Amino acid sequence: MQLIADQQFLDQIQAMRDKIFRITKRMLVSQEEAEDATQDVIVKLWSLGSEKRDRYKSMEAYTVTMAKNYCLDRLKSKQAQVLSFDDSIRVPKTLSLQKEIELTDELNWVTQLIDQLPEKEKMIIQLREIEHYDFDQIATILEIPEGTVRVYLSRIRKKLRKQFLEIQNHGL
Amino acid sequence: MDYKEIKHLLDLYLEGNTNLSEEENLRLFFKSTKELPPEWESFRSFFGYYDQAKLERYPQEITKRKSLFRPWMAAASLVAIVLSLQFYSSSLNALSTDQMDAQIAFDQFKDNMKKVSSRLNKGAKQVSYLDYWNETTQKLIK
Repeated sequence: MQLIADQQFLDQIQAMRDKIFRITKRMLVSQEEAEDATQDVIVKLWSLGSEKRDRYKSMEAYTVTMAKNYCLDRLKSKQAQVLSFDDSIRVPKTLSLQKEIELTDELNWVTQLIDQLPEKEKMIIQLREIEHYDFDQIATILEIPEGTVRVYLSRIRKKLRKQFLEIQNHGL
Repeated sequence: MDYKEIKHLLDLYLEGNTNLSEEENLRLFFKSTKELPPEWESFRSFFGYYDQAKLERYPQEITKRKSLFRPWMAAASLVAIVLSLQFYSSSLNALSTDQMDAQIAFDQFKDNMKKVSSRLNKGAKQVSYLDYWNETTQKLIK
């Protein structure tokens, strides 16, 4: 019995691993950190044991929530570290600071625009536009009401489009 | 889908009111349509980026590298350790010619420094006149 459950878990995880990786990379930006995060999340899931895992209605939503919380913790402790060194180091990452970076094509603009979004907005874009989760699932993962997800999403889509058009018209 | 329909969907999209299948339709439209009204070009970039981002995969595990350690390496390193210990202990016993040279040079340097220091204070007396000169000029300036 245990073996079958383990095998099931492995199959599920195999399917989820790329998603976890993409989501953690969106949040943490660094490739290496995202790889570590993916491994850690899988180990955490594994250590829950099959009975506990089965109790969750949607293993997928649960896993993504776990990945999200992992990243938020990670970012928080990183920020705290930097703060303890020197407050002035923390310069907000804005587009104007990235002006020097050569933007070769429009996909790069989009990458930059999404990279400079706040964590929560990045997460919403990742979950909806890239992982194609429905509003209900996103609401569960982010622990906010469904209506709020829609409002956020609308705001982000408009904002990104506006910024994109500004770049297109005036250059960076 | 005609352009009017797309326009309507895009408006809904920006309001956060499209469902997943409607968004899929938009995605496909922008992927397959070459000629677009200029005001829609930005949507193509965004949908294009999202499509591309979804292709990212967790990197394949690197196959474990074969161990570089071989049994003969153990023997070789043992020999190396023994030899270096022998060399070290023999070098402790006698001063090498380099060390002798250094000792001689140091002794000479010491003698020279003694001579220099014994004559140093003679000059100092002359310098003290400077103070006197300073004082008088100060008075003049006042």
